Amino acid sequence: MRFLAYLAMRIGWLIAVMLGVVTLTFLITNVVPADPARLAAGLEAQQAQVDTMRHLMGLDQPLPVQYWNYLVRLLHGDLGLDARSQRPVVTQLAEYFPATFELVIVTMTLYILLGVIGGVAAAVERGSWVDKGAQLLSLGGLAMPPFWVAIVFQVVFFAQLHWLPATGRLSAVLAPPPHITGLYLVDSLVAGQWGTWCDAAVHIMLPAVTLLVGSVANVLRITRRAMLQVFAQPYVATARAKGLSERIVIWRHCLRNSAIPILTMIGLQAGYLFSGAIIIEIVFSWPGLGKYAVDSIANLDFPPIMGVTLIVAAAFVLINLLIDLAYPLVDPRIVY
Amino acid sequence: MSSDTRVRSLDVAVPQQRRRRLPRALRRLLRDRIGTLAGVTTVVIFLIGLMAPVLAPYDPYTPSPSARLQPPSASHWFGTDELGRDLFSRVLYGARISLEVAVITVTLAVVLGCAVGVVGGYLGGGVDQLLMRLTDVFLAFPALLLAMAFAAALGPSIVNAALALGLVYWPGYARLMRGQVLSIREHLYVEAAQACGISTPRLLLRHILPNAFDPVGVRATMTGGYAILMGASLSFIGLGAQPPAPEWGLMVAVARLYLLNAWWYPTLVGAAVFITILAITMFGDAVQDATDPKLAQQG
Amino acid sequence: MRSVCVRLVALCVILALAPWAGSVTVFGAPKGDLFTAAQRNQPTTLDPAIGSDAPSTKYLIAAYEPLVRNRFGTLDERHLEGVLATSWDISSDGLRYTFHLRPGVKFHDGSQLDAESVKVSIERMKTINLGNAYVLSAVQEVNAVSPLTVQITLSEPYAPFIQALTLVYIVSSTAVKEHQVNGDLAQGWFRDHEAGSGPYRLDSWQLGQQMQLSAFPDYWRGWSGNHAKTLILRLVAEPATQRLLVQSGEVDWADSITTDDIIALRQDKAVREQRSPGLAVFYLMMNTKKPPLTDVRVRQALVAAFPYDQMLKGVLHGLMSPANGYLAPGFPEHDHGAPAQFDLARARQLLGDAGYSKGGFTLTLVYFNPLDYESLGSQLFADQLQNLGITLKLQGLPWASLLQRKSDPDIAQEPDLVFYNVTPGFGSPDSILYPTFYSKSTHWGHFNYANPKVDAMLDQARRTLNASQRTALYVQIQRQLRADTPGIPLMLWDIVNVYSARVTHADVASTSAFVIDYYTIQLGQ
Repeated sequence: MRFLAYLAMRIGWLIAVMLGVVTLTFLITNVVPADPARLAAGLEAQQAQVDTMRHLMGLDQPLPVQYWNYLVRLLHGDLGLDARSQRPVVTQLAEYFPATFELVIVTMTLYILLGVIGGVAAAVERGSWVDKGAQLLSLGGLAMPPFWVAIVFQVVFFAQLHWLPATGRLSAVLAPPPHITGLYLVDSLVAGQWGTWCDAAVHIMLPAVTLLVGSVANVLRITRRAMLQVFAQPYVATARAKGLSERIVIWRHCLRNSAIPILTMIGLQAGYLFSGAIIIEIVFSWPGLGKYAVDSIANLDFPPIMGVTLIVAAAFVLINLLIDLAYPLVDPRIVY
Repeated sequence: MSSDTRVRSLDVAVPQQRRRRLPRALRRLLRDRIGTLAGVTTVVIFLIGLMAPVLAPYDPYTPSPSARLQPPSASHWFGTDELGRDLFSRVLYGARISLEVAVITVTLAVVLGCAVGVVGGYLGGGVDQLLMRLTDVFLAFPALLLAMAFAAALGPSIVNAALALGLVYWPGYARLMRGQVLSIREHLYVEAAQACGISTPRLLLRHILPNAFDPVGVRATMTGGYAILMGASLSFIGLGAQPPAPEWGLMVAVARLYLLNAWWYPTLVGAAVFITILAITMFGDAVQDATDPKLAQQG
Repeated sequence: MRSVCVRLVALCVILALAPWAGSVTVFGAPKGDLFTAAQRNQPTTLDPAIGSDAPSTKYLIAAYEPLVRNRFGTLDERHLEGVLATSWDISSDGLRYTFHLRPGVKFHDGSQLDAESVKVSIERMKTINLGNAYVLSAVQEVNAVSPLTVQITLSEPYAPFIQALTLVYIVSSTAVKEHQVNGDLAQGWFRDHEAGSGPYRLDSWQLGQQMQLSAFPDYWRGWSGNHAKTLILRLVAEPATQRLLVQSGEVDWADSITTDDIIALRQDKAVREQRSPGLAVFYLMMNTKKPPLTDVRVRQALVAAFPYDQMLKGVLHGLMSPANGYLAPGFPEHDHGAPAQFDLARARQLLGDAGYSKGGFTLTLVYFNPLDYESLGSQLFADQLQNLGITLKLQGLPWASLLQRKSDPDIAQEPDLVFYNVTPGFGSPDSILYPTFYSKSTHWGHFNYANPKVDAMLDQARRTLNASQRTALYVQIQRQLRADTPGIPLMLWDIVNVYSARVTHADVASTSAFVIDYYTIQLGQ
C-alpha cells in the first residue's frame, strides 16, 4: 500500500515537472522575437498571406491565451502543426522518435555493459594499468568534442577503411522493414529479414560508438568510485574472511551495494545522451529527433521545439522514475 | 556586541576540522602523479589563456588569403586556417575565450545554484519543495537542447552561450548545496548560533555556506570542462561564438569543412580542446579522490 | 577479473563483426540505372502549389511539369519551350493567354492531361495562396475552351507572366477531386503524395532519410537512351560527408560540396565537374534607412572597400565570378555597366566627403550561417574596414532569425548590412528586381530601400508588352540602382556540380543550377 502511495506521489511529481517543462519551453520560445508565421507562409509571401498564416497559427492572441490554448490542446494529444510542412507535430515526432530511441537504447546497453564492467575492473585492479588505462580511455572519450569524433570515425572507418557506412540507418537500396516499433533492429528481426537486420546493425555502429565514447566515462567512473567506497567497508573483509570466492564478493556483494549510485548515474546519463545525439544525428544524417530539433530551432518553429522538448523531457523523467522505483529491488533496506 | 563574540567563538569547532583535512588531501593528491600532472596542465592552460596576447606570434584576426590552409611549418607551427591566419596564435587566444566561457558559466551556475540550494535547504517545507521542483524542471531538459533554446532566444554570441550554459548547470549545484545544508543545519553550532539570535541571512552567509562549500569547488572544475565542451557544441550549431572569434568550438566547426584537405586544422584544434578538457576532468577526479574520506586508502 | 574483461572484449568484437558479415554490400558504386543524389535539406511539403524553396524544386522537377520552361542554358524568353503546352498566343493587350496543350500526356494516376487539369491546378495554387502563388496574382479567370485549349485572362497586363508560368506545376484534377477533404483542395493528400505528369513517380518518402522515385513508363517523352530509371534523393546534411559519398561512388551527385573540396576533387578520376554560369548574385544589402548608411557617399565608400579579388581569387579559387550589378550577365536585359573595383583610397576620400574621414562608427553585418562563403567574405570585409576606422561586427544567424532581425520594427535593432543571395525564380529580371527593390515588397529579399522612380519603372516594365521597350526600362532601372547604391554586389554564384564519373551527361535548370533535370541524365558504366 505504501508503495502504491509512493508511486502515486511520484506520478504526481512527474506531472508537475512536465507542466513546468511545458511552461519553461513556452516562455523561452516566446522570448524569441521571431515571426514563424512569415516562415510558414513561405519566402515569397505577401503581407496578406503572412497575416492569414499568423491567424491560422493562433499567434495573434495574447500570450496567456496562447498558453492556455496550448495546454488544452496538449491534453487532447494535439501538439500543433509544424509550421513549415503543416504536418501535425505528433506525426513528425512519431516519425523521428524511433531513430533516436534506437540509437539511445543501443548506446545505453553498451555503456552499461562496458561502463560497469570496466569500472569494476578498474576498482579491483586499482592503481594498475587496467585502472589507469580504463580511466584514461573513458575520460579521453569524454573530453573529445563529439562532432570531432564523429567526423574522424567517418573518415577512418568509411573513407579510408571502407568498413562501415557514413550516413543513414539503412543502405539506400534497401526498403525499411515493416513498421511495428520503428526500431529497425527489432522490426527486421520480427519480420525475419536477416539481411536488413545486418544492414541496420552496421549502420548504427558508428553513431552508437561515437555516442558511447562520450558517455561511458561517467558510468565507469561512478562504478569505480562506488566500488572503491564499498571495498573500504568492513563487511567486505568479513565476506573474504568467510572464504567466499573473489568473484562472488565482487559481483554479488560489492556491486549490489554500489548499485544505487550507478543506477542513478545511468539515469542521469540518459539525458546527456540526448545532447550528444543531437550532434551525432547531424553529422551522420541520422533521421532522429536531434536533427529535427536543430532544424526547428533554426527556423524558430515553436510547435516542434516544444514537442521535442516534451517528449525528451518525458522520456528522461520516466527513465529516472523507473530507476528510482528499482532501488528497492537492489537494496531491500529501501522501502517506500 | 556580546552576542557576536559568543557566536564567533562557537563556530570555531567545525572549520578546524576542514583545516586539518586539507593538507592530508593535498598530500594524497600529490601522490597521484597523473592527477598532479593534470592539475599542472590545467594551470598552464589557464595561464596561456591569460597571457595569450603576449605569447601569440601573430595577430589572430588579420586574414591573409594568399596563404590559406597551409600545413604546419617553421613560421606557422600549426599551419594556417581558411583565411590564412596563424592557427597557433588562434589556438592560444582560443584558450582565453574558453576560459571566459568557463568562468561565466561556472560563476552563474554556482551563484544561482547555491543561492537556490541554500535557501531551499535551510528553509525547508513548501519553499524547499517548490525550489526542488524548479530544479527538476531544468534537469528534465537535455542540456544541449536547453542551451540551444536559450542561445537562440538571446541571440548567438559567445557571452550569451556562456549565460545559457550557466542556466543549464545551476540545478546540479542547487541539489548539491541543498544536500549539504540539510546535513549541516542539524549541527550543534548552527543551533547555538540560532539561539544567540543571529539573523538568517547572516547565518546562511557566514556560517552555513562556507562549511557547505567543499564539494562545490570540485564540481566547479568539472562544470568548467563541460562548459567548454558544450560551448564548442553550441558554436558547432552556430549558436555560440561568431567569426572571426578564435573560439575553439567555432574553429573545429569551420575546420570540419576542410577536414579532407587540411587534416591538421581540425586535428590540432580538436587536440587543444581535448587536452584542456582531459586535464580539467582528470584534475577534478583526482581532487575528488583525494578529498573523499570514504575511499579505501592505499596506505 | 581479467577473464571477464577478455570475455567482454570478445563479445564486443563478435557483436561488431557478425552483422557486417551478413549485410548487404554497403559500398560499391550503385550499378545499372540507379541515380543517387545527396542533398543537404529535404522538402517540407510535396505540394507543388506550395513548395517554393530549393529542396522542394529539386523534387518537383522530377514529378511535375509546367506548361512552359526555359530552354536549358538560356533565360531569353524568346527561347521558351513548351512542356505541357505545344504553342501559345498572347493577345495584343497582354490580357489573354491561350495555350494549346500537348495531346496524349498522362498523369501518374492514369488520367489524361486536359484543359480542366490546367484550370484546376492554377485555381488551386491561387486559392491556397502560398509559395509562388504571387505570380498568379494578376490572374482573373481560367477557361477550358476546349479539351486541349486553355485560356487565362489577367486583370491587368503582367509582361513576365509567361515566364512566371514556369513555376506553376500542373496536377491531375482527378487527384484533387478524389482526395479533397472539407474543401482543403486536397492539401492534406498532396503534402505526402504526388499526382504529376513528370518523368518520375514518387515511390516512397522516408522522412528525414530519402525519397525514392522511379521512371514513369508512360512518360510522353519516352525512355530511349541511358536514362536513370530509379532516383534516390538522400538527405546528407554534412558537406564533408557528401564529398566522401561522391568520392566513394555511393552517390552520383551532391549539392553542397565546398569550393575547397571541389578543387581537391579535381585530382580524383572518379569524379566529374560541371560548371554552369550562375544566375544568383551574392550581395551585401545596406540599410538605407539607418545612419550613417543613409548617406550615399558612405555606401559608395563601402562598395569601394570590399576586397573583391581577395575573396574571389584567394578564397574561392576563381570558382565564382565577379558580380556586375544586381542581375547576372545571363539575363538579356543586363545593362553591362562597369563592375565595382576595390579602391581603398577612393573609399577613404568618399568617407572624408561625407564627414567620416577617420571612420569612427560601428556597423553590424548579419549573414546566413551555413553558407561558408558568406562568413569568409564578411571577415575579409571586416578586416578592410578596419583600415578605414570602421568596426564591423559579424553575426551568423539561422534563416528564421536572419529574416526576423532584418525586419525588426525598431530600426535601431536592425543590422546595417545583410548578406544574402537571391536566385531568380523565373527568367525575367522582374523575379529579382521587383521583390528586392520595390518599396512595398514584403519579400524577404527587400531591405528598406525605397525609390519612387524605381517603383514606377518596375510597375511600368510589368505592363510593357514590347520586349525591347521592356529591356530598355530594365536597363534604366539597373542604372538607377547603381547610382543609388543600396547594396554591394559581390559575386556571381557560378555553380559547380560534382558528379560521379558514371554520369556522362546532366542538364541543370536554367534558373537554378542546383536543380538537375533528372530526365536528361545519361549514365555510362
